[in-house]
Amino acid sequence: MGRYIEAKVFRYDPDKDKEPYYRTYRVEVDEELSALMLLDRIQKDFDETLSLRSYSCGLQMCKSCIMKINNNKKFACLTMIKPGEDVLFEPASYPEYHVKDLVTIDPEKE
Amino acid sequence: MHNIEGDIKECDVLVIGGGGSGALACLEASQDGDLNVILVSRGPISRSGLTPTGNGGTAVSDSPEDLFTTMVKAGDYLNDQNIVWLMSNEVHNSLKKLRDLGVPVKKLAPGSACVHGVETLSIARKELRRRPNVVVFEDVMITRLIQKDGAIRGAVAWDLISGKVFIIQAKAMVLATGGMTGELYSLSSNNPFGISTDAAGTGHVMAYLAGADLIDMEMIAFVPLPSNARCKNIRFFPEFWLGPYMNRTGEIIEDDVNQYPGGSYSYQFVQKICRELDHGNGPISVDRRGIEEKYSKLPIPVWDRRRNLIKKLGIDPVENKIEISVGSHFCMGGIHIDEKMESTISGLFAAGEVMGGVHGGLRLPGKSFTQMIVFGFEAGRHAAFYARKNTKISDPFSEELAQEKEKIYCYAETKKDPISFTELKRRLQGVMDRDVFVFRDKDGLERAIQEIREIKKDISSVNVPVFKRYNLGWIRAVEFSLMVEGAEIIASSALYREESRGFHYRNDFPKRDDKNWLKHTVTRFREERLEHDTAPVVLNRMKPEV
Repeated sequence: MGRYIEAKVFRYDPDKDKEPYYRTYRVEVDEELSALMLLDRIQKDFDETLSLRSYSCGLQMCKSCIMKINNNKKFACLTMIKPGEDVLFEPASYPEYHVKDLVTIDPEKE
Repeated sequence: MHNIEGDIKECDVLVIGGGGSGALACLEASQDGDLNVILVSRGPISRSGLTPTGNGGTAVSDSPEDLFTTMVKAGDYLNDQNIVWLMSNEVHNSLKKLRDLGVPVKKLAPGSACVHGVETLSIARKELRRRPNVVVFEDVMITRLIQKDGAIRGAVAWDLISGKVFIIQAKAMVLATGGMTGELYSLSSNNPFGISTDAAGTGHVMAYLAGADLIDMEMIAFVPLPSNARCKNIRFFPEFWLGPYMNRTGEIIEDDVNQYPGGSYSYQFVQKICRELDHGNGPISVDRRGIEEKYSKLPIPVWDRRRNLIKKLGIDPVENKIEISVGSHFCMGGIHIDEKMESTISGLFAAGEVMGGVHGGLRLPGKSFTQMIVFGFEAGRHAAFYARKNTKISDPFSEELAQEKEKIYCYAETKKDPISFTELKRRLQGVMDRDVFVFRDKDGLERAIQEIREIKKDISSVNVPVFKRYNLGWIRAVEFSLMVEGAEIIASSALYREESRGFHYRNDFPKRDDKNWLKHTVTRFREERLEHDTAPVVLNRMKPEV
């Protein structure tokens, strides 16, 4: 134990789902990793239907990866998560500017 | 969220790519207000592409002659000298245009400035949104260029949010789609933390499939990178790359990278590391513990912030020995253009990393932002000029639209023996890492081409989950079908150039051969096949010493 991270992720596709729901993924990890790396791994190896903006500049500058992590808006690229932790991922904005799952459109971009 | 109605959008100038070159080309082409310009970006501008990942270092040079000479010598004379001369002479003018837009250009040491990527793009984006003659499509991907009778006519676009496929007609087009090495190799400087930044070379390949000539596609820059993904950002730590570099036994293999033209970004140094690794002396590490830090505060706030982030992550190279590997960095080859940025397809212009001829065999640090800024403006200017004197043909391109829809939608069909896309991509990266890397030879390259062709066949068995909204698996599958062509182009060009020059090293032809190979390799698509040719290098100002 302690080598796993339990990630609970907000899911909603307005084209298909009646309402949002959460899905939990249990991911085995070797060491601490960033939230974005964790979600990228979930999308690639566990659940291809998960949508997120995987792009990041890696410097907390571009804001592409901003989302709610444990109820606070954070940069996923440099928010580190340790083995043994549980973590909650939700979109930066919902229902306004929401696209699907963790993908949103920035209000400034309208 | 943009509502895209109907199957056709029209404009005078279509700019593809939302990085620095694309944004500046769009500003330039739209500034007089008489042309309708559409900018298409795969992601939100300032939040996608490689521009925001750069550190902003921009070569300025107080003497154009110096900048020109340095670049041509470092590039092993494979640079087109008319293009380098233009860049060297135009850089001050281009930076003035940036300042006029309100972009801070901070002077650093003599000959260099910092132009921050995110800042530049945010300002450019705001300005573009103000202009009534500009339409910006974000989260839209171009999947095909349309050429008729030797001239560019439009493109097929795919809205990643609604799933809609539509046509954009244009009189002139600027292709500014950026790099191609990030996705092709398992380790790349393009991908912070090992996560894709979409540098897949789709622009190179779309231009090639539409009939444009590509040059020197074998010229891929490789650089040392931290092996551990979480340490990737150390690549911006200014002193880190000075070394010292040591091998497994603790022997120092390099402590003076500044002897090479591009420091740690030089092929001479990268080849040295790879030889050490091939001799079984890896892993290679950089150990700066105990070396006094030169700067207490870095000149640019963002750089300082970067360093603090690194310290916070517990990967400060001042306190840790950091293991390094070699990964891909930059594509020096690209679309063959003339001094008006125009490709061999009339009306198709290129700017930024997708253009060829600027760097020859080696890109020096700080020169890609200069390239992005100068040629972004230049391509926009020439495309506008072209659009003003040419008329549009109003063809609905129904056939192209239908074909492209079919191609995109085939991934969503249920397959008998479906292949995982992730697995297929790993296979391609495995081939590139093994046979199309720093050291190359005939046998390896032939084997690579064979395997790439097999991977190409397997694409038709890729299955993606079926939903329209921001479907990453689907986006990456469509991207992959272009990327795999790019892999073949690189491997095949590398086989064609039978000498060693710049970053292209052939074990079976280890010497530079100016007599036979001081020329561009050309790759073009004719009669549904890849073919090679050569083209002269523009050597109008300086010739190599005999």
